[in-house]
Amino acid sequence: MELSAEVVSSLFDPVNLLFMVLGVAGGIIVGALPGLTATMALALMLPFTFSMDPEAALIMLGGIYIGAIYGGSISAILINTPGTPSSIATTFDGYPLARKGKAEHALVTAAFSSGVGGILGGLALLFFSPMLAKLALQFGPPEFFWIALFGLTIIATLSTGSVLKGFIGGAFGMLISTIGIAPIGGESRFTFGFAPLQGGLDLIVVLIGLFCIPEVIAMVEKRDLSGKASLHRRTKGAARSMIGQLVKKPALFFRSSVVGIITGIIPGAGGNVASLLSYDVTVRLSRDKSTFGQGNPEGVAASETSNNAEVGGSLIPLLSLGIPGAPPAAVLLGALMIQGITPGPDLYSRYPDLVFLFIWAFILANGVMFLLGFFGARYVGQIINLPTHYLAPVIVMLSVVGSYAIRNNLLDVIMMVGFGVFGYWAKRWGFEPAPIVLGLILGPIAEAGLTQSMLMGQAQGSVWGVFVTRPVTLMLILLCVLSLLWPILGRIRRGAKPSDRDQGGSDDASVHR
Amino acid sequence: MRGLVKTGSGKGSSVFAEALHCFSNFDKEGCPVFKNRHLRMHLLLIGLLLLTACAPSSAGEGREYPRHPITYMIPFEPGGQSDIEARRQQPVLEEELGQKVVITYKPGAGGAVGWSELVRQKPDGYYMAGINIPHIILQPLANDDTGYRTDQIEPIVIFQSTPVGLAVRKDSGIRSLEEFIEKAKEKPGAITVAGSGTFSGHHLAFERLQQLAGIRMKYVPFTGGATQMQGFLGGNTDAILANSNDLVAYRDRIQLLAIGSDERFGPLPDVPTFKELGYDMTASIDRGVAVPAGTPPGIKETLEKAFKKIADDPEIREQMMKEGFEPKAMGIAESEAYIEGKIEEHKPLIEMMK
Amino acid sequence: MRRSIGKECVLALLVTATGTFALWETWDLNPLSAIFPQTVGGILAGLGLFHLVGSLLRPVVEQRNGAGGRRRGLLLIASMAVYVVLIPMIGFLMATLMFTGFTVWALQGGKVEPPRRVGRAVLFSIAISTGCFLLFRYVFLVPFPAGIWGSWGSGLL
Repeated sequence: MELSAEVVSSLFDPVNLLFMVLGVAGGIIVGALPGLTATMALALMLPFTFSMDPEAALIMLGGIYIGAIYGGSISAILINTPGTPSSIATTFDGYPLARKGKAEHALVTAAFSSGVGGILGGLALLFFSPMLAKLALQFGPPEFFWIALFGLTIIATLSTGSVLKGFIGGAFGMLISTIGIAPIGGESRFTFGFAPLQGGLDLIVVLIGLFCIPEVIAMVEKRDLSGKASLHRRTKGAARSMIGQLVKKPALFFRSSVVGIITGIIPGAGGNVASLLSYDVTVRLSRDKSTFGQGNPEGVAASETSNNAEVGGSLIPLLSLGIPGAPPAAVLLGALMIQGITPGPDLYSRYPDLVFLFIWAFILANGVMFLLGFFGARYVGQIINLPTHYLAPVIVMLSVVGSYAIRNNLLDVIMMVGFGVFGYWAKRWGFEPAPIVLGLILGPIAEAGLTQSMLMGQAQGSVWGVFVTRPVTLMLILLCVLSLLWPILGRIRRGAKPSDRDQGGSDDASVHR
Repeated sequence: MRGLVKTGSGKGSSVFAEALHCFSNFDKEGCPVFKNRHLRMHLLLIGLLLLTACAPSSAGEGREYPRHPITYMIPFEPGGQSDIEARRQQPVLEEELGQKVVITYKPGAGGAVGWSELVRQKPDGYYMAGINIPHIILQPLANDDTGYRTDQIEPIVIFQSTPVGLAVRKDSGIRSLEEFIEKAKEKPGAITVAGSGTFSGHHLAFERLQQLAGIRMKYVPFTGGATQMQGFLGGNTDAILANSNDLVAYRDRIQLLAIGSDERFGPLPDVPTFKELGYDMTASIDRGVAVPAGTPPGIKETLEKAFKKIADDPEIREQMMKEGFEPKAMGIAESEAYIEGKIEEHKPLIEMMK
Repeated sequence: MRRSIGKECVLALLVTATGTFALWETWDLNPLSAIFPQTVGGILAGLGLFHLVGSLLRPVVEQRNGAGGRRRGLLLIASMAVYVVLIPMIGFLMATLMFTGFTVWALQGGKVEPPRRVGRAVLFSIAISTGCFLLFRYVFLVPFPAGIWGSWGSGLL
């Protein structure tokens, strides 16, 4: 917590500031490109940090991390493709806003929320690290299993169409997540002897395929007379009025940040889940649920606040224990090791100045990111004004390149297109991409949690006992039950008026939500 | 260029909007830039030049090999240990070989995706990959569709050894391997040991220890060094079989019982080896570099020389020790013999485990 | 009415079939590898059956989509497929040039004069493909597939 003279002077050192701004800007760009994630952006910069001072290296990497997580919202809003998996929930309301011509509103909301979330995450990192790091260790295999299950209960909230089809989608997502070598059993599943499939399906490939391609195809089909996908009218003062509205909702930001920070602390849960959880909580607690999914800025705010807060959260176990809370944090770990610094329990005592400099620079970087996002929103929003015959090929091209760049694997590109076509037809049948992707994300967590816990249980004499006897587990089970019963409780409270989400058989064959 | 400004319709004064506008209304007004023939020719020329720039660069001054950049593939995610090692080696390699070394990643299936890619490459010395032992031995033995066979990979060097050690938490009250084995005998199947991966080096070490000590424990596989450490520290397992670098990082918090190196391990001098405690086993994860089978011996020797130079560099050796690794310098012949030996050692165990 | 019931029923059967397939395919794996896919497969099959019953009891009215748009959509899908197939054959840059050029040209159909269509398409395609290629190849250091004609697409070797 010390703000020693050295830390302050290093913080405002022009070289460090320059690296910070470059990092944030670069991160935003990379995050905005579909297929390129925060992890990749960090990995790209990793070799350059070799020759830099540890301070500058960390500051730049921190800037990239936070910039990339924000950048993901840009493509999520404009083309319904989460630029990074942590922005999946931003598409739910961000894209509808863009389609209504309010892209700038959405982008400003995202920038502001990301900034707030990131700062709160950084503050948690600064003040609550020791306490929260202990929390990280409380999560073991049984807890992971219940977290995954809890995550799956969100599917009901996410489905604006048929909830049953949502759950089918989720189950399907979990099934395809098993393709490849079993993490616990070691045998390969569903590979049909085809070696490249051993690596399984990459999340981002499926993400791009399911979220982006169907929209592009629909965009091409639905082209209106001017040849444009939608019209972005620049309203004067939109940005400022948006901020005015957002500032009136501190509870939303605080709550979303907390969700993000806690999710970030838990290694393995990852930022992908943070935005979805926060979105879910916000929807459940709001008075008018039907506006969500149609373009309610609060949805964007909830999602973006938590995924940036998660960044700070993921750094807590990294700096306190040497355990990265999310894949990008793992690359940061590598960067530290290249510098000869091994993060571990004694990092704070061995390199206090470096650690605090990094944390403060991280907080500052969020401000930089907000400014860039705020002022850039009006320009960026106009991208969707390009006529469809230019926009569609560019998006497809970026999708192809992006999906190739993930693992340098052509199979991924084929998968992406395959899932794209699949997603297009699935939409016609009433299946939305979000539950499938959620299943894909949570499947491995649930599986590892399940099998590891079973092994632990066998050793303790009771295979299933281990799932229900630990304090954190019990709390999570309670959350699951609450989550499932919530809609029913809500209905009881509101009287006999049925919500129109639960009609299992109804779904329209039109492609858009 | 004046034409560009004139066609702006006052939508906004940003240049970006102008460019978009010009582009979008191509058909209505045309773009002055492209109407000018000279400019068109210039643009076409620039375009062609750009395309030719993508053609192969003819570097190298009369050397036989290497004549152009070499790909160094890491079959894991960036930021991992193999990546860090490659980054350490890269500058020296480039200097020794006189060509750029491009590091690429092909993660998946614990390295299997990358290695199956390796064996499909032309054995011309321009594609090499980091390898891990026992991974490249165990994976083809464990599954039929791994995509490669161990004999399709020809090692150039083994430059690092990461001994695997056994540890328990400080509050467990266990101070030595003997006490640990006693406890395991008292409650067969009840002691849980965290490890990384199934049919992996840790798993193998676990089975061997069980065999040699005549005990029965429970192996709980995790998906990586970080998750296994987190699971262990959180109290979910009683013990952990971890890589030496992880053990070194946490050595103040955990009680180390034994290490799997041949002799006492430099960075952890107080920890006895399994061997000296009477259990004839070694356990380690070794890192090396390899090329596809069939690569000409001359090329292999050139690479070997370059890697040997790195392996003998005292600074690099010291860095590795500090981080908790054991530097090695096994050339082609030594590495091949080592791998053969390990195959013999592991085959029966894997058959039993399956 | 019968046609609508048929569609949802087919879907439900497909879902059930997928779940059952998962169960069958993982039958001979060791318990630890199999338990999760089997559980999920079982759930999937169960949900499929549930939906089957539901759709039999509740017939649904279908909506139709505009036909003209469909053709453009299918065109895009087809050109995407060709693009992906071309990448390993002629290299990334070439394939991208061809894809973007073709798609920009084809999607303008019916509104723009042919000569201008081609002109726009070619210029835009060159600009955007080359730009993207350079960015990813030299800034992000992504090694693109070279194709059977050697280095045109990748520029690496």
